[in-house]
Amino acid sequence: MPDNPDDLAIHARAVTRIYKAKPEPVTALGGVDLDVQPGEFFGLLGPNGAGKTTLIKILTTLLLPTSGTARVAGFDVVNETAKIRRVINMVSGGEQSGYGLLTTREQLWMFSQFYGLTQRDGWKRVDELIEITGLQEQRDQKVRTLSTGQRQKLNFARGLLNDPWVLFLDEPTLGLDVAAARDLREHTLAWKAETEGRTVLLTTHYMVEAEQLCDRIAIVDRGRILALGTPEELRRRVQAESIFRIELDQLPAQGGLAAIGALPGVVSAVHADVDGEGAGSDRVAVKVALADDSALTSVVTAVAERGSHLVGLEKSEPSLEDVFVELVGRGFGDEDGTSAS
Amino acid sequence: MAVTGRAATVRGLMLADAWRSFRTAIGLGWAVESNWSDPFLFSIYTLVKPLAAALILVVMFQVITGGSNPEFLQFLIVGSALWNVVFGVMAGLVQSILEDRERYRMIKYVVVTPPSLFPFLLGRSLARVAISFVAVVLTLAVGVVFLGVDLQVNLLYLVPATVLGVLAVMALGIFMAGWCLQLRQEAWSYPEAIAGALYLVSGAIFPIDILPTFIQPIAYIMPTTWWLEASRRGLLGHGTPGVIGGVPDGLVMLFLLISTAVAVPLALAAFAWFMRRARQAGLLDMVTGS
Amino acid sequence: MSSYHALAKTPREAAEWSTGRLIRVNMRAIVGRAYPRIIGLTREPSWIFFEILLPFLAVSAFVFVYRALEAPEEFIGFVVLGGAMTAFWLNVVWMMAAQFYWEKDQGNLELYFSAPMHLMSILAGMAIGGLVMTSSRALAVIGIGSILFGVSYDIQQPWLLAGVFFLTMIPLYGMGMLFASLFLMWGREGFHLAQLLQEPIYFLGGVNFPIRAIMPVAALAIAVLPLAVGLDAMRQLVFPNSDPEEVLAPMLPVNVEIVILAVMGVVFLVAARLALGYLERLARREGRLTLRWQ
Repeated sequence: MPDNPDDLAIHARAVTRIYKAKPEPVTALGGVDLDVQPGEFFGLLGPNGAGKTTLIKILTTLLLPTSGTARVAGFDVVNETAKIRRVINMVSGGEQSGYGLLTTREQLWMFSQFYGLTQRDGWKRVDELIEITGLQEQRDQKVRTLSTGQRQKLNFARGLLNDPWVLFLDEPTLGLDVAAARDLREHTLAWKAETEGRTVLLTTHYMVEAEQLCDRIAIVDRGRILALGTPEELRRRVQAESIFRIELDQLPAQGGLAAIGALPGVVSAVHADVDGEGAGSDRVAVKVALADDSALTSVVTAVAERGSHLVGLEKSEPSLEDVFVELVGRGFGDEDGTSAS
Repeated sequence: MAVTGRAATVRGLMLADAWRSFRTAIGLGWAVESNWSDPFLFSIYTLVKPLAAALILVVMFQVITGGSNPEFLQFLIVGSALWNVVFGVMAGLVQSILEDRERYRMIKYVVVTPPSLFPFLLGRSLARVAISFVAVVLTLAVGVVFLGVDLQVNLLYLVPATVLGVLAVMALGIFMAGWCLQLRQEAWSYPEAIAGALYLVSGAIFPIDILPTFIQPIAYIMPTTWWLEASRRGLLGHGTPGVIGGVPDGLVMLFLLISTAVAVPLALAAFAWFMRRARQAGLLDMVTGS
Repeated sequence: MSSYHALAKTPREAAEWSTGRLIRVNMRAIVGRAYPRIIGLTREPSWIFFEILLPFLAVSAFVFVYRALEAPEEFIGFVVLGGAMTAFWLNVVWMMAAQFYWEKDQGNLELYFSAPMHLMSILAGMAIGGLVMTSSRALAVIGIGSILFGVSYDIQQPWLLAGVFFLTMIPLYGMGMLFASLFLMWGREGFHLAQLLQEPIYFLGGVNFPIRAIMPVAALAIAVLPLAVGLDAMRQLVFPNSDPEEVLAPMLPVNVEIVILAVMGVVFLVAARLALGYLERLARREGRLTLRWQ
């Protein structure tokens, strides 16, 4: 793994951004440190107003940091913007950008020219991307007639025109329905898998999206990174053990609950409620906390050897919002009264 | 409650809603128009633009006549000054539509309110109309001080002429606003284009007699023609050179009244039709961009 | 798979572009950005009414003013030519200078800034597209105006006239590029400035009258306004036998005005380039590139 900042896909040190505003200046970023490896799918997860978009705008050379340094693909965002722009692209969600009177194909071709593709390569690339993003039926439709989901697919296709080394996705599924959002995520993963070394920086406040896509996630709030790690590592901050809910037809004949608790790898075992179909029957539910997932096999085997049959098994994991609450003391939407998603 | 009583109550509520929407939109229009970070620039803008328009005509006049026909100069300056109202109304109404549809993207939310778009549109454009009257006064003031315009104001004639004239111009503006709603492209320059075209058929800067014979009837039915003529009489004490100058004051006012009375309902009907068409074609929340 | 970075093994390699490649990218960007303007001519037929007929009617109004004043016929020709040139000025002000303001509103501006071509290429594309759009308008005004008002031209040096026309367009659109940078910074003030740049410029440019009529201001106009210089030069070439009365005489000989236009072209383009760079940096520092409704 490269350590040299020039070899990292994204490198940021003490990046701050303060906006002049009335009645007092607004600190959008309060000193962000970040290293993203080449080929990584990195997520910035946080509520609205956390500073995710501000950081992306700095990294995509649209905004200067107030202080600190940042490099993208080894180039400085302040002084080497031209070089950065040759190897990046960005896709923002909730956008209505585009020239209404052009068709989908023309809109993409126009941008292909901005990235310097030849006429022939440009049209070829455009047709490839239209195919990939499922916009075949809309290829000759004017941009102004596209639905929100179609526009975002167009936006996404534009983002891949130059096959960027670093792709910035700023809430790309904002406002999309479930199917459209899923399609977009699949396209992103497929594109990334196609060529080695392509890095993606995703900002989102959808936890599911971050967990599904990202190799590592940084949780951001009020302009600072609160925690950084793989989804698993972040969940472990809240809950070190793996917790499983096991439903049995009966407790083990020898030793009952204590016997389960005494098994190797089991941290604790307590009764849980039986709900649904099993309620009112002889079934028992046990919540076992394991030091490691691998201990589960021995628990199941031991339970079976002691005469119980496994009826149900469910893993209980904290969500990334639980992680956020643990770190900050409030949920994603708690401050402004909106519900987290 | 009797049916008639309920209907009257509903009508009363509708009028109250419309009035509230109109009043609120005036405030909004003023906030948008006065959103200048530099008031000095705003003053320059308000003064220089109409003055330059008048000066173009003054220079044209001076180059040809050497200043030897002061009556014609007064005719030019008054026409040019009053034309700011036409442009202000056109621009105010059309740009309200375009800004709220394309830039602020709020028009759809206004359309679905009980009073819908019309009272909002009128209120929203009033700030622009008010600013245009400032331009009229400034241009006339410069004309009086520097160019020898001799004002003989007859308020008894001028006030009703102005009221009817503004109504007529608003009617034209409402028609234009509805039309621009149908356009699928940027239409920001169209108020100016329309005002420029109306220049031709309203006796604003030349007597209607100069027009080719087949165009003159259009000029005679335009309410703006009679408004300008009536305003000249109210401001200068005499009419325009040419045929229209021979029409008695009372008849000028009558023609203004009639043409306005025809223009206003026509414009309202046209606007209603344009709105229906816009709803059918899904144009109310369309964003163009070119 | 895309061949965009086919030969590069790392992003650092991919970012190293030769001068030739840089030029090609910017040339293609010019073509790309001109495209929507040109294709718009065929897609929105209402422009024929709004962009040709109505402006022609406005020009006609000034023709009739001269008729009412019983002016010599040469003045009619001056107005028709001047009216045609206002089309280019309006294109410069609204479709160049104010364009980035619209683009920022639409969300396209940040896409331009994060792309690798130079913004001057985008502006050049807009200029070329605008020129094509506007030329049809101007030709229509001249054609219809000349036929309807009986204007006769005596063009003895058509190539020189064409050359002067294009030489006028360069500083004119260069000014537009310069203003585009300013509008980027000034936001709504820039939008108001665009509205301010119409009648005063028509006055200073002598669009509707021989520019000599506003001496000594005309001298200043000739020094700074490409529209004034270009129009004066073109009038000399189009109406070479105009009445030698002092008021209709040109400001300067054509060859001097050609030199002035060439110098203006260089000055405005260089100024636009410098201003764009400086103002982009300033806009990035203050966060105005993505701030809407400013």
